[in-house]
Amino acid sequence: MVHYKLTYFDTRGIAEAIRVLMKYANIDFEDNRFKVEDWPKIKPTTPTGKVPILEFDGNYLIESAAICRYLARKHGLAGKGDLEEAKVDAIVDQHKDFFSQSFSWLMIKFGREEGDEEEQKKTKFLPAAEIYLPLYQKYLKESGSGFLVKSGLTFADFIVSEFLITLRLNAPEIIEKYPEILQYIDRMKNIPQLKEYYATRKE
Amino acid sequence: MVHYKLIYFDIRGMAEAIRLVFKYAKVDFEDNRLTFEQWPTIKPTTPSGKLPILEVDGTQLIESAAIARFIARKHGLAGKGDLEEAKVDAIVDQNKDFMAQVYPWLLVKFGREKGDEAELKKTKLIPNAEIYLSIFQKYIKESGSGFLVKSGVTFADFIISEFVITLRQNAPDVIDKYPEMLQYIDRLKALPQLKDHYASRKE
Repeated sequence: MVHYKLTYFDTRGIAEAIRVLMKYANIDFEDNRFKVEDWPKIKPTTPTGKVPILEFDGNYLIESAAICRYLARKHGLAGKGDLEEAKVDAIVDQHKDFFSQSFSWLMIKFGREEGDEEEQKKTKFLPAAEIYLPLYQKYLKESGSGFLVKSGLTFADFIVSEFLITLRLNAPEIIEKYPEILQYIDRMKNIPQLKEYYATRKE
Repeated sequence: MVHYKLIYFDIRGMAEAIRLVFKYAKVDFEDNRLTFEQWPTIKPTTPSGKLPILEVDGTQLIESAAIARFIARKHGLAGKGDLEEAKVDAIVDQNKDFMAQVYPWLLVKFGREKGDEAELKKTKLIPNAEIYLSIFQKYIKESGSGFLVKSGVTFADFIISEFVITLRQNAPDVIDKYPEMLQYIDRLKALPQLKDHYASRKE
């Protein structure tokens, strides 16, 4: 059996989608978490100076979406058929754009960067939210499955829902305007294989 | 036989890598190039208000990397084996971060946004070129194939090289400091399947 070791900060961040996917698919893994303050010490010990990193059998993978897709493909969580796989990939890429627009605002809000939180929220996050949140609602409405694509749960759901949970914690007044998104988050949290994990983890 | 229709503007932009995948794999496709004047009428009819779009027997795919991967996977251009596929995906995602960092400068240079070009070149282009081009040069050195990964040409090569070609057109003084990247671009331009396309296209 493959021994997987996932290394990331002791936060949800961009690794949580990988953790949730592995829990859902029942993949055992070593959840190697370090404190944010320890990063300068840990960084030089990693193969590329970046996290998350997934190590196994003498190999390593970087980039959270690429790691998710790699694991997802092995467990039927990447979409059914080539066209749906491409749709899943497109949703993940759209998310990356939304995330890029929101990143500075969140880093300032978390106290990890200096800056004008209100200004970043107004000029970068809110215009992006106005594009992407309706888009996710559209995908959810059109799929008929309760998840982002027709065949059901995919790694796009793990990635997108984690970010929506973060946004709900940090801009509830924005997310709460989208009832289908709130229902979607609840639906994810009630997936039988994951219910207990979501209920007990640090959010 | 599947009918492919690629819809984009009459420029290289985000679609050229897709065109290169098709041409390298010798797959016929309709190269539907719109004028900027046509775009406002067509935009509201598109899935996400953005291009490129690939129509596959009428089904519309969006997001340039997802489209490139979709075609590449059918023609052995997405990496050999699951680990190399994940490496290709990671490189494409790293390039997406590179583009996101550099776009503020590029948009000002293109005259599409207001800003201090010299200042942005110094704060955005130069440091990120150093980070990302060093990484890409390292991949090319380590692969042994002359391309980004060991097995040879993949869609990651087309995506990365197109962006570096654009950067070189707009800041040759910066990009010319990376000779291995320049040799790499020449190597792609000399591929027998693509030589003519590169030589005759509008750059």
